[in-house]
Amino acid sequence: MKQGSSLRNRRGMSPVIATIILSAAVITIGGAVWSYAQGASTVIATGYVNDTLTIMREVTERFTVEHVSNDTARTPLYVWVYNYGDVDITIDVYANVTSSGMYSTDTNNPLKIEAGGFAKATITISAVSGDKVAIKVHSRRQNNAYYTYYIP
Amino acid sequence: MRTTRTTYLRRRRGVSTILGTLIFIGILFTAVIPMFLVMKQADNIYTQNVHEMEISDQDRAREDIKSYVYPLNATSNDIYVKVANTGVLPVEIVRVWINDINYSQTTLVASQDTQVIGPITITPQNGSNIVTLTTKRGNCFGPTTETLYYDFNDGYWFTPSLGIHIIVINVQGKYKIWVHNSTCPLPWNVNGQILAYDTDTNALDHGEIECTQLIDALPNGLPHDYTVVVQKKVGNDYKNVRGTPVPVVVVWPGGSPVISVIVDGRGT
Repeated sequence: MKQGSSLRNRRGMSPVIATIILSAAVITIGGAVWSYAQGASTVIATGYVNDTLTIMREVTERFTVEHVSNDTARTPLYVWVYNYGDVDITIDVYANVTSSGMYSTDTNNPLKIEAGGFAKATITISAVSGDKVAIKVHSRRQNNAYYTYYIP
Repeated sequence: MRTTRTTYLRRRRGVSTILGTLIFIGILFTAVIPMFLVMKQADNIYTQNVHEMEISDQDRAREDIKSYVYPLNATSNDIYVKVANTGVLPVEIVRVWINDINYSQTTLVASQDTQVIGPITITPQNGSNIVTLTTKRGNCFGPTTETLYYDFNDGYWFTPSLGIHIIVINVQGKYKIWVHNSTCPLPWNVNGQILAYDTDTNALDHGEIECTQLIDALPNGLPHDYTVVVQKKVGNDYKNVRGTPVPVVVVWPGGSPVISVIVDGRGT
């Protein structure tokens, strides 16, 4: 009677162990999946937010050509650019002179203008009096501002 | 006994399923939903910024100022810039460009208000001296009157066109605007326009009326007295708008070449 009772008790151990093992497996795999999901969602969310902010800066960028002048030698062309937006900008300035072609500022050393500030870009050109200069200010976020200037 | 064991096993059979479900719900609430909330928040910030920029662009397009440049006297290097804000928004002047030199400013001009910037001491160029204004919203405005001309040999400024600029704050109505001087009977100069508006339509709500009456240049900088009369049609008659006739004295050099007169036609 005693032996039978002991056997009957041992017979119940397997389902318990199986349940524990299964639960442990579920918790381990579930924890790993949970951890991966959290990491992946953080990466995805961070990437999405960064992309959104990048696009936001692109669409909120505002700048204009405020003033253009040149000296009597007509070789340097001065272009004042006003950043009236809320984000800092990095720009290159291009000048297309009717008599001599295209010139630009040093693209390896672009001009940086903080929000609300203005700066002068200098382009070395070759021009004669009466030349029409088509000026294009191109930001590194792919926005443009245009201006037409006639060499006095 | 069999019944007891079966019940015991049945009770344990769903533990993994429950754990799995809990983990799934945990992932849902701690990873997926926060991710979507953050994305949604980013979208909201983006939309809000785009909307703000649209409003900013509209405000920029609605800016409207008129500027008049004049020297202190015929030989002075000090010049003044009179700015009349004819728009509906306040305008902040951040820079005055005189030829190729800029002068930083922080002059705020309220709607329908006038401010004088200066004196600004300059080195006049022989011939035309170009003055432009830059506003904080990124607009550049040139002078309303002619460019200032300087004769380098004689050291004199040329006289620009003189005028009286009249603004009538109006909702709707029909007006006659007269400018005359004290020595000539009314109407001395009917070129101050007769403006006709259809009183049966609401299309002119909040539409200000503007006109500029050019007047003759005066020798020796003598002041001349003028009177501006603004009349509004009430019934079959024209009645003076409250505050008019307005006496106007034009002095140039030493004063603005253009005088702004602002009257309110709404209460007549």
